[in-house]
Amino acid sequence: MCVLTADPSDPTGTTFLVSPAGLVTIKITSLTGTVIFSPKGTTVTDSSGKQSSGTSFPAPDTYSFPTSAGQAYTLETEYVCVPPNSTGRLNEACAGGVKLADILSTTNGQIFTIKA
Amino acid sequence: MNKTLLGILLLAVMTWPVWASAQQPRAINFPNGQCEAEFEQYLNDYRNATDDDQRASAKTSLAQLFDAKTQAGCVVSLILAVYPNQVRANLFLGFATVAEKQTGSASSTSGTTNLVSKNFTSRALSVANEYGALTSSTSGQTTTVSGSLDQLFTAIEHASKGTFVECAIKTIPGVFCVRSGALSFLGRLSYSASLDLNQPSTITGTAAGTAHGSTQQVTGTQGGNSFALSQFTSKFFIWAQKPSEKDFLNALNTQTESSDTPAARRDLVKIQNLADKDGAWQVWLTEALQALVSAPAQTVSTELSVQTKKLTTVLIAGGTPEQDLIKAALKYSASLAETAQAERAIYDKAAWDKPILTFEYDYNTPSNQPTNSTFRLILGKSTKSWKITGNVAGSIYNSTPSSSIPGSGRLRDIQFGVEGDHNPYALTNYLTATFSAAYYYQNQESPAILNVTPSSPISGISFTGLSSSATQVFTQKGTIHVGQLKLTLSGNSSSGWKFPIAITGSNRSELITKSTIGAQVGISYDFDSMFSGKSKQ
Repeated sequence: MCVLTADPSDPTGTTFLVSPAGLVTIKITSLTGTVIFSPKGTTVTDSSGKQSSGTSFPAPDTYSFPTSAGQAYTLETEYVCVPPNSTGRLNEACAGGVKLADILSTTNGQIFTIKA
Repeated sequence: MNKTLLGILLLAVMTWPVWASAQQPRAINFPNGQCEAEFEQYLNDYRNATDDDQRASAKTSLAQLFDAKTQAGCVVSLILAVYPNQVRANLFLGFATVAEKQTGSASSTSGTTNLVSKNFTSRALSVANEYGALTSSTSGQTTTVSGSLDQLFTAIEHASKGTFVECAIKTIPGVFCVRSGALSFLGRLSYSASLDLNQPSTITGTAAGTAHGSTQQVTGTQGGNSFALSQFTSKFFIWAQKPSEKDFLNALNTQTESSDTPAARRDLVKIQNLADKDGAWQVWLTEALQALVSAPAQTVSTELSVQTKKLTTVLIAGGTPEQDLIKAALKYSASLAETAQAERAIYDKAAWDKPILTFEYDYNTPSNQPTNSTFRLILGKSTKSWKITGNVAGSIYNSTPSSSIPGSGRLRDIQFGVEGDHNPYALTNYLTATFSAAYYYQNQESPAILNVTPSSPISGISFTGLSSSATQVFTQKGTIHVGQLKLTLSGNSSSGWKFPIAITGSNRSELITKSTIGAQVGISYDFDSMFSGKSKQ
C-alpha cells in the first residue's frame, strides 16, 4: 500500500506527507547502470535531530523507516552509482508510488522532509 | 580639444562590444549533459501538459534541478557557468597547490621511493605514479611497471580538481571530459612491462692532457643501456558476468576511505538555507520557474542565464560572500571526481568476484633465448571459499628457429594451468593463513633453445664437450607437469609481513629432463606499513 504523497504547498517538491503513519519504504529504480543506497549516508532524523531507530535496508536499493503521526522527519539519502554514469529514480516502493526525485551522476545525495 | 574628443570616441568604439555584452545576458546551458537533458525533458513535459496536474508535476521536477537539496550537481554547474573568470582563477590556484604538494610529498608515502624516482625524472611520470596511473614493483634486478589504460585518465582526473573528468560528472563549464563508454573500453586494456636493470655497461676512458711519467688523466664515459625490456604483457578483458547490487554493496562495505562529496553537498545546502531564512530563495525559485516555463524555446538559454544570475544574487544576499560561493561549488565539483574514482573501484572490485574471461599477450625476451610470444586465455571465478583461475596458452617463437634443430618449428609450446586460492583463514586476531594449490602443464612442441657464445659462457650454465662453432643449443621436447602447494602466513592488514612456504614438484623443466621436488620458504616485509598509519596523522 502506498502511503506517501507530495505536499502541494511545497514548491520545491521535497516535502512528502505520510498517511497513514507507519513504515515507509522507498526504492531506487536504476535507469542506466546501477544505483544503490550508501548505507552509511542514508538516515532519517526526527525534528529534534535524533536518528530514527527501526530503519532497514531490505535490499541494496531499498530503504525502510518508521514514522509516527504528527511527527516531521528529515530523510537524507546518499547514493553509489556503479559505474559513475549510472542514473536512477527514487520512488515509494509500491505500485504507482510517488516519485521523490531523479538520481543523476552528480546527485550524490538528497534531503527530503517527511511529515506524518 | 578635438584630439580629446576623438580619443573618447575611439575608446567608446573599442570598448562597446565589451560593454554591450556585459549589459546583454549571455545564454547558458547546464554544463552537465544529464542535467541539461532533464531540464529540456521537463520543460517539454510542461509545455505538452494537458492538465494542471501534469503541469504541476513537470514544474516540481524542474524545481528539483535548481535545489541543492536534490540536485546539488546541477545547481553547482549553473553557478559556475555564470562566473567563468573567477572559476578560471580559482582553478589555476588549485593546480598550483596540487603541483606544490606533489613535489613535497612525504618520504613515507607509499610508492615515493619507487621506479619513477629511480629510473625516470619526468615530472609527468612522477605524477602518474603518485596518483596511481601506473604501479611499479621491484624484485631483484627486475622492475615491473603495470597499470590499465584508464588509470592514466584517473591520475589526471585526480589532479585536475574537476577540470578533466568523465562527462557524466562534469559540472565545470568548458572543461574537457571523456565519455563513459570510452573510459570503460580503456579499463579493459592493461599492460605490464618488466625491465631488467642488471644490464652490462662498459666504461670507455679517453686520455686527457699529457702523460706525467707513468701516469695519465683520463675522462670516463659509460656506454650501454641502464635497463632492457625483458617482458611486455598486454591484457584485454573480454567478458565478465555483470555483478549484482549485492556484489556492489559488498564491495562498497570493504572501502575504508570516506568521500568528501557529502560534506561539500551539505555546505551548498547550508548556503541555500541561509538564503532561504526569510524565504528569499523560495521566492526566487517560484519566479524563476514561471519565467523559464513561459519563455519561448529560442530564449530559454538566455532566461536560464538571467535566473542563474538572480540565484547567485539571492545566495550572496543570504550572507555568503561571492568567493565562498564559487569555492563551495568548485569543492563539490572536485569531490565528484574523487567519488567517481571510488565508484569505479567498487565496480571493478565487484566485477572481479564474477567469472571473467581475459585475453593476454606476452612478448618475452628471456636472457640468452630467442624471443617468443605467448597468447593466453584466462578465466577467473570466485566461489564462496575459493578463487579459481584457469588458463590455456600457446607460445610461438618470434622468428623461425634454425632448420638444423630437429623437430623445431614456430610453435614453441602449448600450456594449461589452473590455480585455486582459498580465502584467508583467521587463525588468531593477528595471524592469517592462506592456502593455494596450482597445477601447470606444458607440451614442448619445439625444443627450448639457448643462444650461446663459446668464448662467453652463460652465467650459471656450463657446457661440457660443446663444439666451438655452436651458437645455439637445444633440449629434448616433451611434456612438463608442475604442481605446487603453498601456505602463506601473514599478520593483520597493517602488519605488512608475509611468510610463504611452498612445495613444488615437476617431472622435468624446459632445460633439465629429470624430475625435481623442492621446498621454498620466504619472508617479506612491507616497510611502508611502518609509516602508513603515521603519514595519515
